[in-house]
Amino acid sequence: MQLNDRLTGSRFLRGVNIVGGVTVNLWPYHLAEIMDELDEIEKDFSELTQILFNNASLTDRLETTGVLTERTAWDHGVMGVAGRASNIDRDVRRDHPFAAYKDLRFKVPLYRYGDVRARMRVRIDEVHESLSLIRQVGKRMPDGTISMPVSHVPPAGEWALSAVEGWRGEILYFIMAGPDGTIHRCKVRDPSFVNWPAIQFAVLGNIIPDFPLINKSFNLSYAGNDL
Amino acid sequence: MFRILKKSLKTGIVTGRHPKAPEGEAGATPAAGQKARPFRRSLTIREVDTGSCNACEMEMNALMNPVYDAERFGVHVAASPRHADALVVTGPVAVNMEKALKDAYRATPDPKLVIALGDCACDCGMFKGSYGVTGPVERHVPVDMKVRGCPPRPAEILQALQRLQGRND
Repeated sequence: MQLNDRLTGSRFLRGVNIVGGVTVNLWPYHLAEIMDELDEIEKDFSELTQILFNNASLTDRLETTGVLTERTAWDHGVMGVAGRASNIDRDVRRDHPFAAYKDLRFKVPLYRYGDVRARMRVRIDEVHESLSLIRQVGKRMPDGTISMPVSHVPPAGEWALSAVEGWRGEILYFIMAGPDGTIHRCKVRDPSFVNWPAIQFAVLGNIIPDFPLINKSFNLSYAGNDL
Repeated sequence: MFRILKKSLKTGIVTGRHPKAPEGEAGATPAAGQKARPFRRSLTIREVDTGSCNACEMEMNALMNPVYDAERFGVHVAASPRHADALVVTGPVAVNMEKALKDAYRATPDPKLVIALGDCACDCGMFKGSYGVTGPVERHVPVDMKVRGCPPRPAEILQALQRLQGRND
């Protein structure tokens, strides 16, 4: 986040994406700074995963805890990290590529067991995939203008639907234009809405102290459920 | 075991390794300094989310991590307004959170401080004029200090809290 602040002036990258492009240009020295930081993060992260995987008591706690079977996951349409830990091979970035994803190479981590450890391993693998994606993008950053003026005003009633792979899973956005370029209707479908019902199947037969562990291994949003 | 020890020793102390906050104007009311006098060495705060986007909450979380470490200045976060000296309110006060904010304010023992954190809490920010919000925090409870920013950086929050406690280092 300190890197975000240095590059764009906002720790949350606010005001970077605008209609028609982006507001901040990345110069080669910015990219060099990002790459250096990434190398450091990867080294640090690898050391931490080493510690995690060598800890027998942690493995004992995580393995076979909160198993979500592939069948249940499929029936509920579980997506994102929780789905990929239960062998549901879906990723919008690969299946319906948007932005530059069709030109980038990345693996979608997949595990069969559906326990807390599988979800943790999906997350760890995704960190490495994300680092590799940022490196690929950095190498192939095209030159040119960073944003284009947009003059099209959608007529009232025109609508659009978009699917983006967020870190929890697939986020759907539906938006409908109103008169005079206003927004008439907007609906967000957060992956939390789909994944919450699956937790009640994952916790069955587990001891009470494992409930927070299982709950957090799904890492769902309470607010995302109501969007 | 030895790996964990090695990692901790190698990492060393990270506290204070963050960019300095720009010198901003103090958003405190004149009486706030006097009201904050009993809390100069220890201030327990309760976070009240009245419909924020969670960015302010994430920055409050960052305030307690090893890099910013607000505990070294005696700032603690409590899990109940009854244990708190100050309420940190974020968000533009959504219709359904108005009662919760007033309840939390009543439950906090006197003397108490209210800090409005973020542009939303200060003047509704981008939600100004929306049918879903009932005006800034000031409309419902007396505010002693405003910390602006969307969201304010942890360094800025830390600076504001230190000013409130009368520490000018």
